[in-house]
Amino acid sequence: MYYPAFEVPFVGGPTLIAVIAITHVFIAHFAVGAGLFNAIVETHALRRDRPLLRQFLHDYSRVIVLLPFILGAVTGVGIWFSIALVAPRATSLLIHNFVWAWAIEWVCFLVEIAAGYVYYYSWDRLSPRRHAAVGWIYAVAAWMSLFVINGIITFMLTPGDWSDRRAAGDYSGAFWTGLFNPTFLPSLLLRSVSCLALAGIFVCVVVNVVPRYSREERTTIIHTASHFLVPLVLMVPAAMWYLGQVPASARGLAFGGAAAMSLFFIFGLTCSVLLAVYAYVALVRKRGYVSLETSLLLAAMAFIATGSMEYVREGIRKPYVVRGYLWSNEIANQPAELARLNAEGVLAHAPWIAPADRRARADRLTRGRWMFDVQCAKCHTIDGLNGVAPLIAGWPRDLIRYNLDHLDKLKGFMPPVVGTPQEKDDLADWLFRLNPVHHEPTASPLASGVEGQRR
Amino acid sequence: MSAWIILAQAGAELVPPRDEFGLPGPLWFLHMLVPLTFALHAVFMNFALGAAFIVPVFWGVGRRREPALLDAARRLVRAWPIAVSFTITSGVAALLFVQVLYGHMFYTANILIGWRWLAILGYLLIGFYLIYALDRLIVRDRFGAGMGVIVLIALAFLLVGHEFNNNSVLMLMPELWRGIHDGELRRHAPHAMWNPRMFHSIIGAVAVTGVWVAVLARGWRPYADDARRIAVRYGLRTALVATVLQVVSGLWFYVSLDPDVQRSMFAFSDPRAVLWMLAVLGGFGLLFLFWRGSEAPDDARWVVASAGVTAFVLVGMSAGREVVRLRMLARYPGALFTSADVRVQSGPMLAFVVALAIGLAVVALMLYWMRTAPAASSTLGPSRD
Ligand code: HEC
Repeated sequence: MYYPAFEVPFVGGPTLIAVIAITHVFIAHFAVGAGLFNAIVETHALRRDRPLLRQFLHDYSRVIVLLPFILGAVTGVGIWFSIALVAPRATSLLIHNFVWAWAIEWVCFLVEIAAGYVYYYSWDRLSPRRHAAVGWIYAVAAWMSLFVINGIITFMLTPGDWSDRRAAGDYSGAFWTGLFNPTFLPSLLLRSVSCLALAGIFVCVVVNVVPRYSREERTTIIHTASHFLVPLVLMVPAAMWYLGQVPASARGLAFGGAAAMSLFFIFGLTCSVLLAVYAYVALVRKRGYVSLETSLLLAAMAFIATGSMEYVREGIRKPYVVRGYLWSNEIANQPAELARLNAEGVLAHAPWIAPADRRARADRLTRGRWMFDVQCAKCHTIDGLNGVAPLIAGWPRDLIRYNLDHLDKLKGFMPPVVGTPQEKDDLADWLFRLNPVHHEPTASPLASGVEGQRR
Repeated sequence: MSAWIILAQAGAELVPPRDEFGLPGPLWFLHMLVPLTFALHAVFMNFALGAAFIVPVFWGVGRRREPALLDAARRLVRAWPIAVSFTITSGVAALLFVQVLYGHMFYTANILIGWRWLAILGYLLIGFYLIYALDRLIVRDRFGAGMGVIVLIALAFLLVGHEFNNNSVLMLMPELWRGIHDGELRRHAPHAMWNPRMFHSIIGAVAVTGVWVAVLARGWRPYADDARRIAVRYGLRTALVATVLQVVSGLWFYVSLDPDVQRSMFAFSDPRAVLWMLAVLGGFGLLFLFWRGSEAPDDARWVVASAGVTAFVLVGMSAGREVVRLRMLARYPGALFTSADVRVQSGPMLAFVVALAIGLAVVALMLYWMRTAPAASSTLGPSRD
């Protein structure tokens, strides 16, 4: 409303964020897990004197420098860029509440990158003990960055009493409760487990790609790596713990309230458990071998599982970006703001969509279209993806108008319509005219507004 | 009423409200962090961009008559991805604090630039991975193919700079927003400062990379003394030539600014402006240091002094950038946060300062370990395959 709209054709802004974010999470989780993997295995290799494992870690560290440090870093910036484009007010909210958390996370990131390069370039320079120490520095820094960022991500769904603390003027307290919110720990567990598993799966890929190892050596390395997949069984209890902490309405969406959401959720969990069982039975117990094709398949499963879980996490937050405070359409669920918008009108505060000079001479349909652009277009197109026209096909105008007063009840993942009664009337008129079959024959004068027409 | 005032009024309507949560730290602290993190970003970003100009020259001269330069070019290419990594890392810090103070202006400019802003990600990826491709080519001295790749890298990083330049200018000029939004103006922000600003950044990048060459050459081990001498000399000479040009482009940049902005650059009451003025003097000082250093490449002190003063100049120039920003945004009531918006989160802020101290100490420790370690067996780091 306060910002110009960034339009992503066909799929919409949230999908753009999702594509970038899921790629990033997948790689970033791998980076954290690989850090832990390298630190643990290098220490183990030193104690037991196993040069094969050290050699492999050397090869593996190159993957870290090439994947997380490039694609991971760029997609990380990509998340910043895309959320600012699609949801600037939400981004601003997060920045102005949590910039110190992000700054701490940045320090972790800095140490992680520095340690990663030192680690990679010092295999033949530092003493093995020091080298392992650098590995641990990398691992701790990388995991700490996950620790911090996990707080901000979970905040959006379960902000705790952040808002009350702020209202009471306790800004530091609000920060800490917001960060260490009810879903912080279960989510940290879920993510840590996923990190370890991804590291293990990537080992299977890398060991098959680097030509230097014999079949037997590969089996040994894969056997070591397979232990990192077993914790995936914790996904189920951790997910239950997580769901136990989210608000009932959000839980409802994951369990049946929205079919797609439930499917993704079950799918993600099943994938994880299957991977764990496979790793334990076939790799840990039977010391089996994983070919390149199989390990790529495992990686693909892990990617889909990661994507599903991220999708569910995003999905069950609707209609909020920050639960209880900010809706997806960037209007805040705050009495003062709502009172102002309901009295003065939404369009009076949407200068990009409804410029002051054009507002005065706009007709009803134009104003209705503007209302749609301000409040609905973040989630709906007109007749494309989640298009509103087919959704209301056949609805009489009165029903449309009635539902505009009860939109948040109609479907749990929509915010209520804000604005003056006149503005809601205009929106109802415009919506009604989207499906031409239902036009009353006498209503033609209204159709003249050019901006009111479909694009 | 002048045309400008009418324009500015049209823009004022579009300036989004400042964030209702206010500033989580004292104004002075945030106003300090913005230029400091930007200067840090510039240290690496200049290498990332400048190497695209210096590597081909060193490579070309190196393969014809000065083998030491070919070697230096290879070492630069080996260090290049690390520079890009730290450019991104430090850029994130700069991005954080810019959003705190100017987020509402910044986001609006992002959105107006839109897909071209997002394309930065693609340019970065292309440039980044191409550097690794270049590494393979330069190790085998495949000059023709290497030049082709360098041109692509330069193009990718220049496009990144181009969009950042767009964004930086656009976020200060709400009077252009409506026109750009409605497609009546080109997205390329039409302000007189656009071109000199871009040139100033590119030439500065070459100068700073020249200093980087000298600094890195002092640290390369094992490294023959005469090779080191040649690398230091060429590095500082490059910096010298670029800095002479930089004085010209700086002057051009200055005259392109609006008169009121120009005046605020010389306001002795503003510590930022004072820092900037000192940085201008420092820039002239650098001409001397680069010249002396390239004449006496064995003397490490000139390199150290050059690097130190260059770092200071970067900080001062970043402070000057803030002066311009603040002056231009002050034209729009409500665009800037004030002390009334401050809601300090003291605990979290302290936690950040402590984390930063620990983090820097850990990085320093690791660098110390690297420095005191025996030199690697291979001069070009670990094997490539
Ligand atoms: C936060 C995102 C979001 C916003 C904002 C939003 N909607 Fe929806 N809306 C949805 C989703 C998701 C559905 C479900 C679509 C489906 O069932 O296929 C939906 C469904 C609907 C339906 C069909 C309901 C039914 O019972 O079939 C209507 C009508 C509708 N929206 C109108 C609107 C209007 C008008 C606005 C703006 C005032 C709006 N929506 C804003 C997400 C949103």
